[in-house]
Amino acid sequence: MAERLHSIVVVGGDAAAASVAAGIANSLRGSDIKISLIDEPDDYTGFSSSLPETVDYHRHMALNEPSLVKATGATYKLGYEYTDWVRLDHRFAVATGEYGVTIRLVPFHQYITKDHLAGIESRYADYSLAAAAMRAGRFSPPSADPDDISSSYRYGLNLDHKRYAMAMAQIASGFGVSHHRSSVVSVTRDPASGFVQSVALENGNSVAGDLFVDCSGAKALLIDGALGIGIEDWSQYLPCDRSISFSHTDAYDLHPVTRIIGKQHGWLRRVQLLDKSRFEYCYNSGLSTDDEVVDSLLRDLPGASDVLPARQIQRGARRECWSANVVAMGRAAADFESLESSSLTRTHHSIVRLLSLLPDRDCAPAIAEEFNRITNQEHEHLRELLCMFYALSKRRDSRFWRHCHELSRPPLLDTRLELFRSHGRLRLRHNEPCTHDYMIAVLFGLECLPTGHDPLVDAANPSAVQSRMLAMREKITDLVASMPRHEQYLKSILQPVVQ
Amino acid sequence: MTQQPISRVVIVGGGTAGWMTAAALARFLEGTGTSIHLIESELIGTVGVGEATIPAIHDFNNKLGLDEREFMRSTSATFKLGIEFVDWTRIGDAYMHPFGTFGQDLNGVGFHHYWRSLRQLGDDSDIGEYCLAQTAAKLGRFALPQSDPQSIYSTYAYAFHFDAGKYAVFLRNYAEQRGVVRTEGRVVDVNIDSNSGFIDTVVLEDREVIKGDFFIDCSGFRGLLIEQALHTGYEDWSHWLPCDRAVAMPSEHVRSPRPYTRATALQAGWQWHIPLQHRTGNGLVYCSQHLSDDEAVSMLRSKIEGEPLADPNLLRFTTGRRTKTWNRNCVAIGLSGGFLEPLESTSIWLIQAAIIELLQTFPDRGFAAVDIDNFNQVMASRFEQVRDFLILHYYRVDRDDSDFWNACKTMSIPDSLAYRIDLFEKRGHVVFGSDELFIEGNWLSVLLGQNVIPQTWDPRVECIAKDELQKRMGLMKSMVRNAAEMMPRHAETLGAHCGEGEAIIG
Repeated sequence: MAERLHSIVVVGGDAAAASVAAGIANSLRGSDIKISLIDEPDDYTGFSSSLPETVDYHRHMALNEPSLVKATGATYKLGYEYTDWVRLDHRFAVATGEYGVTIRLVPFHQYITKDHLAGIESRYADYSLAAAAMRAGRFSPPSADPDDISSSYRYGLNLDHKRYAMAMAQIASGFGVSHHRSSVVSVTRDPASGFVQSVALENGNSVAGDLFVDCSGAKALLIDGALGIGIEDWSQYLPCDRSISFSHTDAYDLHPVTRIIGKQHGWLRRVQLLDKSRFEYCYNSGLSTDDEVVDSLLRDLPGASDVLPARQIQRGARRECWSANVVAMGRAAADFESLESSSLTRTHHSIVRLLSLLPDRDCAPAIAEEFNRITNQEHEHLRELLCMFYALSKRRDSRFWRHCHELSRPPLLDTRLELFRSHGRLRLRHNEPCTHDYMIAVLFGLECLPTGHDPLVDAANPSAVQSRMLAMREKITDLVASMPRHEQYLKSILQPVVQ
Repeated sequence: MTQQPISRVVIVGGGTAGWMTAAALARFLEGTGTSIHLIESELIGTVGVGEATIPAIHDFNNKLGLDEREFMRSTSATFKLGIEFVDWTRIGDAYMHPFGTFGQDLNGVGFHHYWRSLRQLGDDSDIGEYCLAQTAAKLGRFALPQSDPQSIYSTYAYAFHFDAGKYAVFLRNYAEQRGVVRTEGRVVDVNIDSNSGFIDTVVLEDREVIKGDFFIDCSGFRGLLIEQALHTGYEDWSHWLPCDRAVAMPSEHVRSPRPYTRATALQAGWQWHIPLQHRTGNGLVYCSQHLSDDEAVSMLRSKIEGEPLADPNLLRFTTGRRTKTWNRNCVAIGLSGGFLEPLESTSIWLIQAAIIELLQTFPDRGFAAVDIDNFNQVMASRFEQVRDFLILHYYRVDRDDSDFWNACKTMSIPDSLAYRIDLFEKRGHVVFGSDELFIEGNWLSVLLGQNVIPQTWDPRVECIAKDELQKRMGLMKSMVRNAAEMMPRHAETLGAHCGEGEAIIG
């Protein structure tokens, strides 16, 4: 039998690093495996709009969510709202929840499609509790009872990176992780096996380990720097290779939503944290200069502050995120724009996968292969989702948007769109980043509409369906009215109840 | 442009596939104005496929809204908790593929990793001792599972053994009540539209011409429409699954029915044993290259315990699948779509999967090519998943008592299966996708059963101290044993369920 694993080292540089160390340590509590974290939380400046899997990840560690929200100034998120994306003055939203119900084997959106085709106005979003709550600026956590319609949604958290990394480092230490507040200056490898043996730190220490998790962000210190595993270039698929982040203290708007706004040079992601709004402007450096982008954002938002230096987006993914005894996660694994994706949540996905495939000291290649197979699948699914957003935009009013139409499309995307346009059919593949209903909401939002409906729709009595749909809308309206406003809910968990 | 709905579906062939299809279409097309016709000839014998099912059958029966008691009474059904495989790895060895979970996962780590770590310490407990479905099955006990996830009686599912001929009759009644029109007759000719290549009409022996815009081929092995008329093509898998004949013969019971199917490996194939309420279904699946029909018949006769109730019924097949399950305006459901031996009781499931997929892709007269391609991809992957699962039974064996087994264990297997075996052997990790029929527990029981023992296990196992783990595992084992012993006998539950009363646990 192979020798068991003795130690795992998490190399930071990406705000998810501390949460990775915490998650590993939590899963290995009681074992002799030692976990080290090399991370300097003070260096982080960005923010994340994480997806529901991050909340699951926290729950798995049995974290107290209100305390985390309190410690990090986080806000809740039920989905995305897209403005000026399909075209100017157009807006749509997608929520991480269920939409309608399946009636007689037929997915709900088929009934909406039949209405559309008959010229009857019918909105898919009216049948989603999460979408309705998001629109109304309301939030409360879902019910745990699966029979309750209030259990029909999930949520993510909008997070400030520095505060998140600090809170997570504290939790990790509580789980027994040794935290080195420093950064890696050099890497030593075993000449025979090629395995990373240890990393030397700026503070003069050296940390050795059996398995290294590379969470060093775009620098990819171990996977690329030491092992030389390069990134596969996706620039033919994705337009944004640069982004600028900044803040704004005005325009207090606490809807539980991440907003994406189509702009001249690209698009803007806006997240409302408790103290201020955070923005990220993503664009293409071949089409716009940093100065042009900064000028235009200052024109649009005169009070913008904390404008950070532009950062490069590498637009691609590594085919081998696990090589030898190094497993790369987050931006060290794949680096692309944060539309519909979150590097933080991707990291949480990866760590759960790594734990389910935790190797012995020899890091058997078959295990790494399986990890890479699924990770690649996940990256490709995400790429396809992003490509879908660009492919379906009808904007042509600037170089950026015209460029979006010249991009290559993954072959499976065309098949998916053709299948959907024909009779509204959608087949999700294994490991897709979103649910069936979410994908339908995106397709409808992007005005990709079927030209036919499922013939089985006609089996249902139209007036019975109409009254059932009316009852759903009314129920949702009532439930939303009974939910607290997002800021009220936040206040309620931030202020300890006076005994 | 408005959609042109299908006005008439014509199903060619009755039998299990034909009537399952007719019943489901009748249920879900009711109200659309589509009429459903079924042509069958009483002169053509139907192949009583399966007779043993997997728990997914509930999904189909529930979609039709069948009453379980009525269904069981009408089909002479018994309950089924799994399949026992005898003599597969070595003569004298046996294992079970039960319809239930093994032990309890601890701290998010799969139970089998803990089991494997204790085995390393010399604990030789069979993993089945931690499985209520298996323990109860071996004790001949059965109770309906409970829905409360806290209860140990929620850790298993069940299927049925039933008389497929009676199931067809039961569904025929259901379908005819819902407007399906049955025509007695034999199809002698198929007319194809020369422009579209679509089937236009079928002609019966008495010259009656039946027109349809959508045809379902349930004609069995020969594929009257899909192959004989449309020349679709067949993917032959007999290099992986070389059995090509079967002989079936029912017999009288010699004991009260066991709540599980038994598959016993023989020198050039295997024998099935399926206990129904009123009789036992027996048969031999074999490879004609290694066993003649006469030898097979006499072997089956010698193995059957009770008095035979009919003459042996011989069947020939080629394992594989139709290159396209849906070609033009014709869908092949049942044996016309492909054949995989019933070793894992999947025949009825393959029919049901095609029907459900068809309902989810039901066409209009435009017959969108994207929908058809999508359907064909799904069906291809369903067949391949089952195929791989079956090959595992033949490939991972220690038997060397015949040329047949020597050939099986040295064959080259599909990469997809080799990959699964390798990961399980290296790390105890089970690979499966979200849309697959066989998931972790299914693969686990057959991999372990076929003696694929992981070399190592999840390191998280070490988070629980050894003596603590031994204590907890021992407790699990005795809980399973006690819970199984509290269950009523299978015959008791059967009598109560199909009669009036209710058999209770305890």
